[in-house]
Order: sequence, then C-alpha cells, then structure tokens
Amino acid sequence: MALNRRELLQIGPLAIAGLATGNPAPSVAGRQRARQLGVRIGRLQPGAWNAITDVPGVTVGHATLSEGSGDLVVGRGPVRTGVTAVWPHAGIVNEYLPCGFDMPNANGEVTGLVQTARLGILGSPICLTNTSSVGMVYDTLLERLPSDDLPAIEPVVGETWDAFLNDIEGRHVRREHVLAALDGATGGAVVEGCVGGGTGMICYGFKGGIGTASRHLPPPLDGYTLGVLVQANHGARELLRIDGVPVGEAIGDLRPEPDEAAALNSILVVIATDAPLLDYQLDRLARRAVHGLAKTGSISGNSSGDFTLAFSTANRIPRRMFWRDAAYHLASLEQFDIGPLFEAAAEATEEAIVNALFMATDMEGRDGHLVHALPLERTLKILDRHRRLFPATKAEGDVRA
Amino acid sequence: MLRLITLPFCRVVMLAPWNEPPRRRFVAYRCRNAFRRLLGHAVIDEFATLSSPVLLGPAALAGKLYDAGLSLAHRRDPEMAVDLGWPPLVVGLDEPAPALPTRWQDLLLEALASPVLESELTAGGDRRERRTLGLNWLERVDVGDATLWITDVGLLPKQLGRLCEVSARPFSLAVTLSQPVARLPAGRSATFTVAGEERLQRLLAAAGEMGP
Repeated sequence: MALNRRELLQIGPLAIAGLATGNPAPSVAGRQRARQLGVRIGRLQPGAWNAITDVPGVTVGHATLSEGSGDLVVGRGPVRTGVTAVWPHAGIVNEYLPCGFDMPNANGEVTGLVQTARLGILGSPICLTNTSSVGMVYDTLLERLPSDDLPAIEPVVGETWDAFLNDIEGRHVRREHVLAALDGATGGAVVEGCVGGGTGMICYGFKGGIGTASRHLPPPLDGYTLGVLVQANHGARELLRIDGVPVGEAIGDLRPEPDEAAALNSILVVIATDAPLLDYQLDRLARRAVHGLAKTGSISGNSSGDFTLAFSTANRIPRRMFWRDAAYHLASLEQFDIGPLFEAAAEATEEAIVNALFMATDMEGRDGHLVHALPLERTLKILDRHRRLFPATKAEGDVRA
Repeated sequence: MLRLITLPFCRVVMLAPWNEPPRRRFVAYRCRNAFRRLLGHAVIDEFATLSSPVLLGPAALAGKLYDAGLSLAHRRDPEMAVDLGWPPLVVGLDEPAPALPTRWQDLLLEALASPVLESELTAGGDRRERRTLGLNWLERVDVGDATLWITDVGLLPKQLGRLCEVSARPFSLAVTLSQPVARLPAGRSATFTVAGEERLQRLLAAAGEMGP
C-alpha cells in the first residue's frame, strides 16, 4: 500500500507501523524506516532488503542487553548495551577477504587495523560494541579462529561510547553475549535502532544505534551490490540534515536529559560489496563513506572515533594459500569503473544513519538519563516543507514483502 | 623492460618504453625522516599505480624535470592520463645542481624516446644489483639518497610498501613489472596473481641481503 504525501503527514508515528508498505524488518513499535515513509536518499536503487545483507553471504546478528532502571550502580546497571556481529561470509575465518579502511577522526578503537593496513585482509567477523567491552569481545572472537600451524589473524572489534545510558564500567557484555550475536546472525532483514552494539547510542542528540541500507550498482556494474551497516553514536543536533534538509535546526527540543552530559561521540561504518576490489581500492571505497556521513551533518569532531571499514566478498583467499602458497589470484574491477561504487557507498552510509535515527526509540538509562527518538511526524512535516518527501512504493525497491 | 639512463643533470628509470599502450604498474613509496622532495605522488597515493618514468635529479631541478615529464606525457597523449605517463614522478636528490646544457629538455626527451640507448648508472655512489629468486628476479637501484626496488614478482601495493621498508635511505620506491594494469571494457575485471606471505618473506629477505 503506497501512501501519498498528505496521508503520510496525517498519521502519527504510532500509527505508522500499521500502515506499512511492506515488511521492512523485524518491527520496532511505532517506527519505520526512512524510505518507507517517503524519504528517498540519493538516486541509486536499494537492494531487496535495503540492508548490508543484500550482499550475498553477509549476515548480521545482535545481542541486546537492556536491564534495570534508576541510579547507576557500577556492576549492577542499568544496562543498555550489546554486541552486533557482521559475518562477511560464513567461512571468513578460513577464507580471508580483501579489506580496506579509513578513519576520518580516530579518537576510538577498531582492532585489527594494522593487519588491514599492512596485509590488506579481513579474517574474522566484525563485532561492534561499547568502548569498555572491546577486550572481552576480542578475546571471545579469538576462540572462533583456527588454531593450527598457520599464523593467527587479528579479530576486528569496533566500539562507541554508551556511558550516558549504560553502566559501561560494569562490563556487562560477556562471552555468551558475543557468541549469541555471532551464532544468531542471519541474512535478510536486519533489526535496527536500539539493538546490539547500538543499544545505548546517541546520534545528533536523538536516540541512535544500528542502521543499514544498500544500493544496487548501475550499469556497467549492474549485478553488483553494496551494503552498509552503521553503529551511529555521533553528531551535534544543530548539524543534523536529512536528505539535505536542516532537520536538527528545526527540532530544538527533545534534547537528551540532562543535556549537558550527552557529549559528541563516534560512528562505525561497515561497507560490504560483492564487486571485485583489491585492498587499496577498498581503502578508497572506505573513504567515500565519509561523504555520506558528512551529508547527515557530521564534521568528524575532535572527540569522535569515526572508522569506516570496507570489504569485498568477490575474492576469497583460502588461509593456507594466503600464508603458505607461492601465489594466489584476485580479480579486480577496472579502476575507471569504480565511480558508481563511491556514489553507492556515500548514499548507503547516509541512508543507514537516517535509518538508525528512524528506527530507534526513546530510551531511559542510568540515573534516569533520557534520550528521545527522532520525532517522525515532525520530521516528515519538515521534509515535506522542503519538498523532500515522496510517496513510498514497493516499486522503489524499498523492501522485500 | 627496464632501462637506466644517466644524463649529466639527472638519472631516469624507465619501466617501459616511453610510448607503450595505456598501462600502469602497481607501486608504493616510502619517505623517511624529513624527505619531502617528491613530485607526482598524489596519483600513487590514490590509485597505487605508476605509468611515468621515474626521474631522479638534484632537488633544485625538480620543477624542470617535472616539466620535461609533462612534455613526455603530452607527447603520448595531448589529454594526458594516469595510464599514459601523467603525472611525472620526480624524486629530488640531495645533491648539487649542475649547469644545464642548452636544449637540456630536448636531450632528456630524446634519451627517453630512444629505442636503443642503454646506459648503466655512472654517477658516483649510484649502484644497481640484481638477485634471481627462482624464476623471478629482484633488482635494487640506488640513486643518490633514493632506493628503487623493481621486481617481476606479482605483488599488490601494500606488499610493495613492505618492500620499501627494507631500505634505510630517505626515499624508497617499489614497483612490480608483473601484470600491468590495462584498460578494460566497462564493467570487466582483471585477474592478478599475488605472492603468498611465504614467498613475500623470501623476497623481503633477499632484499635485506642487498644492504640497508
């Protein structure tokens, strides 16, 4: 069922779920994804799920920890955190992939980047969590890596800071949570918003978290797909733009409470594609995600830990071949063809961040700290005033019913 | 095809005939300490490939050598392109600049375009050493305070960057002549052969044996 612009504006957020144009993802009460509500970012078409899982073989799992309320008692809660696991493909620990990265402001942590910089490979799932859980998640990932006569690979774990809502010092993420995220990973629709590593995150002063989006490549690269998943915990309210519209300026209220304690933080961006790219080309692709990030209003502030990681599933390198054999073979697109991939990376990153905002819900955390979700009804009205709201249809490749 | 040309005011490492079809080679470079006399590196930073000769000369002549490289690139293609010799890669050496002969640029371009000229390095301190590695080879060329590593082993740019680290000189560059990157029909991919880690380690060890 497609809604016109007027109809979209007549419904409140809580009613929106019942008027969905399709089944976008495991539902979040009262929330819908941006494209389903008529926000159309960029000009390329999304994949079937408009998610990183549109890249064949990529799966995503979350372990979400949300318990308790009231005053912070370190070690007891309240807990608002978790782990998100991205499997580039099910056999990543035995078949490496070319990988690249960028870090527009690196006041943060992503493990394994020296390996990416020097060897250009990814050999583990990618896990996203909170700052104080990096060691635990890294340690657990090591368990899943082969242990034999071949050199060990570095697990990839990224973090953002969720201490405004979460008892971060309590280190509530444990081995079983990491394993649950890893073992629960699936293809298809990806749960977004306050889930997994994104559970306690804040984005442009609204509730943030996990978001995802994808793009099919236009000719001559049609047949290839690029997907993005973000853990969005960044940005100043006044700078927020959605599809170029200064939404943050227009919504001055609904600040985190207490506002002064909600500092600017960070974002993690994971890019997957099945286009055949080599490691240095993936470094270039990772840099383009920053353009999508900037279009939402980020300036990668001094306190930000902003990291973008990109991998290609087209070339699988058996680990024994990588470490031992004389040579192996990798396919690569012609350098002059990869412009559309840059556009896709920027668009999908921008939309993934917007989806994180659209799908996140109000959250109260430690010490009664409160973070409001982006008010969808007001946002749609603002977008409509700027003529950036379009009827949503399945034909746009929005979601798979 | 690897030619080393020595002229009174510069040395040139030719990785291919000056007028070869559009083609690039994977490359990496490394600067140590305060070395900064490098022109034409931005395209390497972005594309990790090189299609220009490597021009090495006194730092004071770097602009002039770059200008000569542009003349060569224009001669190959009026529009110039990253696979047709643009931008020129110029390494400014820490050595005094001689007086330039008249028609110096013509002399340089004639040397680059000559199909027959083969010249060993003759400037004081320059050296060239070659090692055989099974069916492959690795060559080290030291010119002034720069080291160039040239090999026919299939390496990706990050691997070439690790080869650069073997040299302790202020500037080092590594390039593979194996499997040049050619233009392809739109949407097509090429396949590259890449050395496994053990093979790369043997190459790095051989490079290490050739001195710091």
